[in-house]
Amino acid sequence: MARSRLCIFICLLASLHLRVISSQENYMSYELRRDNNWDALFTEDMNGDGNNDLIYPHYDPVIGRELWIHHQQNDGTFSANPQRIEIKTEIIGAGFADLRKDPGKEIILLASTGVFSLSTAINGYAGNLEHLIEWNLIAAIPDRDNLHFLTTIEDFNNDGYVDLILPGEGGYGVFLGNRDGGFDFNATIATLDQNFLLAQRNNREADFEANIGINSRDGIKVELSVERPTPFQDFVEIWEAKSSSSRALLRDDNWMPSLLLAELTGDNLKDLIYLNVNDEGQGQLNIHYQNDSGFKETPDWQASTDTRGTIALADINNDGIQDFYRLIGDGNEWDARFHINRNGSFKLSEPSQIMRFSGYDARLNFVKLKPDSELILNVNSYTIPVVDAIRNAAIKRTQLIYPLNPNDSETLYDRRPTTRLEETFSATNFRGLSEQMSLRYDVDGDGNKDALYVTENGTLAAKRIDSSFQISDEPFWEYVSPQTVFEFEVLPLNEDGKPDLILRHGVSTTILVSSP
Amino acid sequence: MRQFFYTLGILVFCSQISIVRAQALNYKHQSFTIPATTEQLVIAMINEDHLNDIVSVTDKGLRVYFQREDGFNFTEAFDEINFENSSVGWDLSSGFSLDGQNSILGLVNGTDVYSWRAIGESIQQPELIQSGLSGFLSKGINRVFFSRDINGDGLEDLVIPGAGSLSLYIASDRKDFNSPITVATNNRIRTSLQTNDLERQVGQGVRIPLIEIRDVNNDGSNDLISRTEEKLDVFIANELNPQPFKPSPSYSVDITEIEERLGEFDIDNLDFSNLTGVLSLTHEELLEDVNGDHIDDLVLREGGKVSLFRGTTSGMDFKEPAQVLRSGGNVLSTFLYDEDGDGLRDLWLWRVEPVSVGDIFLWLALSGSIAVEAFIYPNQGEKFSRRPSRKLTINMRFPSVIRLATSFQDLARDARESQTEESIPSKLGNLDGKLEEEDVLVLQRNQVQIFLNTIKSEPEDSPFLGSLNYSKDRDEYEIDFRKLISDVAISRDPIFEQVFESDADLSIDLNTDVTNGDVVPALVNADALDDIFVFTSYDSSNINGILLLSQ
Repeated sequence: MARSRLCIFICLLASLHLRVISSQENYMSYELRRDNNWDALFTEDMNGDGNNDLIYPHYDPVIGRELWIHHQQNDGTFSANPQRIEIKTEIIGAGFADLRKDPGKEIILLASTGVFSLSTAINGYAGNLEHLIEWNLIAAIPDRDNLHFLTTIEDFNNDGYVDLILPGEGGYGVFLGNRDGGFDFNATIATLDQNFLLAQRNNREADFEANIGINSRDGIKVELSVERPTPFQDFVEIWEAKSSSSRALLRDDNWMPSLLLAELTGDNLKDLIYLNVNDEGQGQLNIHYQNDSGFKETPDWQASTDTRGTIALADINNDGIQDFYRLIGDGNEWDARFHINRNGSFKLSEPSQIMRFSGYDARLNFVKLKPDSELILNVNSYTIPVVDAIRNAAIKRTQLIYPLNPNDSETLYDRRPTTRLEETFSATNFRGLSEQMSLRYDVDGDGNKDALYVTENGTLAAKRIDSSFQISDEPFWEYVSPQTVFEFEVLPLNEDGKPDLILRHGVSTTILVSSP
Repeated sequence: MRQFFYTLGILVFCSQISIVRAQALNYKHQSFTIPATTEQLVIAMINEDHLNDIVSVTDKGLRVYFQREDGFNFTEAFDEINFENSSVGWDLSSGFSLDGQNSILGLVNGTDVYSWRAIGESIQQPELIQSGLSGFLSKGINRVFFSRDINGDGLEDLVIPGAGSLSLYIASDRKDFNSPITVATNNRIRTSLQTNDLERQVGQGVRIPLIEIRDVNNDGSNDLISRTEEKLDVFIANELNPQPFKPSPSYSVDITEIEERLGEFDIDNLDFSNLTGVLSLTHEELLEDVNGDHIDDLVLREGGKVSLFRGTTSGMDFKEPAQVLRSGGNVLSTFLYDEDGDGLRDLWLWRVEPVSVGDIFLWLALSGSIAVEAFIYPNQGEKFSRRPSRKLTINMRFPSVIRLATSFQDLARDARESQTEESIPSKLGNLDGKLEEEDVLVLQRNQVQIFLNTIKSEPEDSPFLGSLNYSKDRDEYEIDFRKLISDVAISRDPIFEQVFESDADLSIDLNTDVTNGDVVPALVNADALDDIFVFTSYDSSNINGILLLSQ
């Protein structure tokens, strides 16, 4: 009896192993090694062949900055030698958009006073560089070894032409693409309070700082200090004739609140939303609605809000438009306040629902597990039970799933989760902690989201989620790579409709392109 | 009874001294209203009358309030420079006038340098100092310290920031400059052009450090030291040459090569039983005099290997190291300090004990400790001793990570809650000229209250390893984080804490309602006593206040 059980067990193990192997055989694997593996990596179709290429910035002290492009071949492999695009000293940022008639996307180059396009199909800048817009970018000094990116360039007024939102000296410039491949200025959206200095003077929030350092004067020094701003702190300076090494040459900060595009009214036109500080030093949420002629320069709706905690937009009630939530934590206790979008505005003083969670590093995700299903709220957190910690030196990771109540107008999500998955990690399996489990991806392309996670061996695996939101005990998919996986992303890299993957390791990145 | 009256008499006498001293303080009140767009006030002598003036900085330009013998007239006695360009760096310098009078300098768009002088209460037309420069500047009007005497010849040179480099224009005469030399700098530039996070910001933060300027080879001329992530470059000056610096460095340390030699951090090859073993990938380059000839030598640490290279008058002898020391364990840092008082700097090598993944998991819930050890290798003149003469041990004790995190959160919350609208502004100043003890200024109840000689002045130089309470006779030390945290009291402003139960030596009625006010001591007039800026109110149009000038 024991022998037959052992035999079945071995068979099961073997079949599981075969599944794993067969999963791996369905991908073309490409290992990308570069000087800084954690620098930005983009996937765009630059030559118009329907396959996304790999693009990343590269710096060499002699040559300077370049963009390197590894073109994807039809078999899912990537060119071993990259196409190298010179980035001139004056360039501060870049993005990618299809502006010209040639197939594929062009590189959009941002300098301190203008925006240009450059095709990768033509060598060099001569006869290639096209001036698009005159614009004073908020950043004026190029980085010698870095390039910064506009990551989301899109057609937000649905006219078929790519539009641009550019951060500038006095606010964001909204430029609408036109049929000639050019751009028409639409509006300037100033996200910084017009009385910024007044708001700054009114901001009296104290901060606590702790530092530990080692130096030749103090040896090991621990500093605990409280920063108590006053309205005119550092306002008066006594000029002293310069000593040879007393000061930095330049210190300057030029920042403004981010401006986000989000569907806020249900008219299929994305609106603009930002969070800033008003004259009284309080947080303020501002919305500019998009209409047929674009945007107004003054906010259409604004209201003050508490800015403590994490503030984010998400579709919380599954109506396709963005809602607003605030997650306030005090170490082990979290308080999530959901504010449902009512015709493009929010009642910020009255949350639609308040939920409480316990655990460290709580994170919220609103996910649709199937295209036609209701939303679920997925909450990740960590707990450190003292007894377990003493006995096993272990911590616990918890996944909670709360389904949306579609018919309950009072309560969006139940107080108790329908699913609770607890995993214990210690020194023997800590590699699994490198990334939280994600329910956002469909790894096998069957239309259902899977629970994707890094295993205790540092490999990537996926478990199924059934119709009652239970996560299976065993993985149905695993990709075994020689290096530990730290980050993962599932995305389409070609037009075959099958999910592809990018796995980040310590010093390299694996790109898995699904193959027939 | 006699004793009682005797004591009482002394007390009364002491309090009378304080009253007399406070009565000696006398201030002239000068009300001011300046635009709310004022970002800063800089106190400096701008015109030829040897009185400090006030330069007010706005986003459009500079306004100079000229001081007269009887103080300021904030409504009439000022003149302005309105910059019409989008990028202007401004500075002050006394090097561009024959009489040593200060000028306001403007580096416009990174390409042209202009100088403005004031005669009387009038700012003159700008004079072009240098054009055709190729610098990069942040947008707006910024303070840029671009005018300096780099080579110590008494002439102001120009330091123009570029992309990851500085262009140095060394003056050959008061306004003539040699062709530039380019020196790499470790610019700290943070740029974000887009984010998908409502709470994040977009923009640019720039910190351009000035290169280190000092005499490296003991020839009396300032040399240049440039440190970047790739290289340590030293440019030795030849003071006999009108262009004292060569375009390429006199010697370099290739940091990229050192990092390649040490290897790349790869978590898959990490020893999880000794996470601190990752310190073997770290390096340090110390450019200091070891053998007492006042020429900088190079102490290069690569992991646990310390190499000493001998500096010469013309550069650095890289042929072979004068000494190589190897230390086992996880070397955290090295520095040079004369431990035995023989006038030569000894080598201090700091090591940390191995920390495993298991330790970290345990420390999440339980308190722990890490021992850091300092090994002192005495300087024997030309080399360091091959063996350390002394070992210090610092035992760092800490509560569990959970407890630590909770304590910090509690302290941060206490700090936030202690800072309310009703917070009382308080500052330290020198109002009576007695430098050994600092005076406290408090702004409350529409008064400036002065508490004389309340706080002992901090010595300018802190004692060596002062935070450890270091002594040559003791080798064992402890830093107890739990105690440090429990000793932190965040109930009130620590300056105000010193005086809130005392009676003020002097209270100055402001005769106006103070709303969200502030008080700032500063040396404005010609005496050596602090004057006092009192900001009484502000709104979106103006800043109102009173300048109390010591008489």
